[in-house]
Amino acid sequence: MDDKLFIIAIGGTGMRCLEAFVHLCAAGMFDNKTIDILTLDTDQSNGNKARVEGLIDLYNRIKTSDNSHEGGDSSANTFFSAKLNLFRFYTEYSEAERKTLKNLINTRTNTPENREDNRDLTDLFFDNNVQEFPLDHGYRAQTHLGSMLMYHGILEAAIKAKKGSKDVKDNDKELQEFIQLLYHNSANARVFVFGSVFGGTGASSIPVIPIALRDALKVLMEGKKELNLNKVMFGSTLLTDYFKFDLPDDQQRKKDRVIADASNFALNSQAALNFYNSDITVKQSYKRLYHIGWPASLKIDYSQGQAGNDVITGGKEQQNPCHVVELMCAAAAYDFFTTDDMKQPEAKYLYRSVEEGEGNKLRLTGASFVGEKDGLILEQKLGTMLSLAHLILSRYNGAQEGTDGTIEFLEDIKKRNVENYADIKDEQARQLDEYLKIYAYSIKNGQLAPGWLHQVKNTIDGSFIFSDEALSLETSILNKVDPGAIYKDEKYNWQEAGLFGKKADKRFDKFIEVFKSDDSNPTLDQGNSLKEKFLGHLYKAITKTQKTPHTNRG
Amino acid sequence: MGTSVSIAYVWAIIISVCILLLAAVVAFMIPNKPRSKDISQRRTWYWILFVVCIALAFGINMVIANGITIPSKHSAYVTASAIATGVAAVIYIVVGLCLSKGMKRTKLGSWF
Repeated sequence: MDDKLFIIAIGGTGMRCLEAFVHLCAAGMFDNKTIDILTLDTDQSNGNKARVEGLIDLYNRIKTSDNSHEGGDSSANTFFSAKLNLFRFYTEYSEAERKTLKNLINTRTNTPENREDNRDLTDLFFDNNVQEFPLDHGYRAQTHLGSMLMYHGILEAAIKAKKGSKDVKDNDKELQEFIQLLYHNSANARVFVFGSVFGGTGASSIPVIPIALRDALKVLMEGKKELNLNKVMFGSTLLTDYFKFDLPDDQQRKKDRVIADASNFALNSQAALNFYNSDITVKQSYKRLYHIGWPASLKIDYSQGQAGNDVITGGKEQQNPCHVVELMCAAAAYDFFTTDDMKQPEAKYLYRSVEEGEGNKLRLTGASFVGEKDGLILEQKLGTMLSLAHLILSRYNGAQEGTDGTIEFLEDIKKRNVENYADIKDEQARQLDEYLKIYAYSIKNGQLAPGWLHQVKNTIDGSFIFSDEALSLETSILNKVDPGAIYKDEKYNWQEAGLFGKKADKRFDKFIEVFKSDDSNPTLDQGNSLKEKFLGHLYKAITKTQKTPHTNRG
Repeated sequence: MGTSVSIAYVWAIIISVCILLLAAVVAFMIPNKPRSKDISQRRTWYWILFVVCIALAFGINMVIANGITIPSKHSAYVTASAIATGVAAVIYIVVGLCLSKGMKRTKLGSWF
């Protein structure tokens, strides 16, 4: 029986790791899989959270053929092959009486004696600033507070959902649904948790999340059933600091009380790793923990290019660019979901070194992310998606505002007597454009807006799988980029047709000939709806045009 | 000189087939381009070669007709040449249409 896969993304960094994971799903790395995803945050309006939830929504709209079957089905050997189900949960701190820890412990439902005890206990562990900072922008690197509040938030939601009172919110119901799904599949469930160990919400939640889910289920089942943590396999990344931001000035410190200080991230990371290495609860609840880090000298500065002087503590303004370590975290989830090595009773700690090329610069290949066995598969899947992006965005001008690349492509192939896809609606075609712009790039007012993969490449001081032109940040280069020559290794680029003309034109010529041939017709495993067939057809045509198939080295 | 009018038809057929082959070679040599620019190029070349086919079929037969000294035979050959040119045109279009529709997903599909 196939394992049932679950993802839990926590906090801003967790959301960006989930973003990388969704792009891997879009590239077709998780064939025939249904993946249930829970986004978990204290910050309902967080920009990174909104961005990834919007991305999953778009992913599902692309897979939806009609509204009766939202999100479509899982498929194989195509783009968007995994089926993703999204569940959203956030701890509620927006109301005045829940805004700070001080307010929470003085809640009206407690007896005066309870309130007094709470106050004493809180004063013992937390200083006044920690008790008084607003919680709706996360736990601000106060992990001792965060772990307690996240555990409390999850249990509180379970209690509310169980009571079924009228103040049960959608997010409480979605958490309940997720936990029940986990319980029903506990015999073969794999749960991967995304989050950092150096920040606030993720770092607070990773240690307690298996226990919190187990105890929440106990509440939901009135103690009659239990989530067996020996059966449900949990994995996570131990992601240490990889970015920094400006230190807050005195005025902001005074206003916000507590702000995560990037200069403490390295220290936080060190303390967290020490904790994860020795804490018995973590060791017993997790099967695999992946160490992921980044050289201190190469940390990116999230304050650069940001408007205003204040440090962004959270909220909708927190929309950080993507980084290659988030792709490494997504690759760790791939390893966790595909490995057979889960028999050990305690957590296994894993890490991988990466190669250095000329001038001691990084040399990242597919193997750097998922190992030798599946490295070429990753290269092919990401590359096939990138070729599609360049085809639609550059060759058919889809990157430009007001131009619909996929619609133009569909009209083009119709004129070439491939009329199977004439019924795809303009709105549906635009959804693919929208996704490809997020994946690769778009051009607004003549200015390049780098998408996920271009942002990832921009964080690497060294070489990545693809040619520099394919992931350039210059509009003039991208306007004429060749979708068939994206790989550094020429043997994986597209075949050429014809005797005369530029290589790029000959590659495009070959692609169209392959697309029109019967060999590229979609097969049943690629999906049944018209949109799925179109995506399958594109996937087949691109992979068949490549000179050498990327085969699994294992 | 005893030239048969059938020669006019033979030449017309040979020329139409040869030019059609040339049109096919040209069609395959034009690479596919985004936004179907190649389709109009192939179509344009197909009709340019149609004009060439007619001109060549009629021209060659006229050269042959000029060598015929007997007025009645000359007149008959000229008449046959005109009809043969029409035959060449019909062959070019009908065979071209059949090839284009029969292999509509190849580059010949751009002709019609």
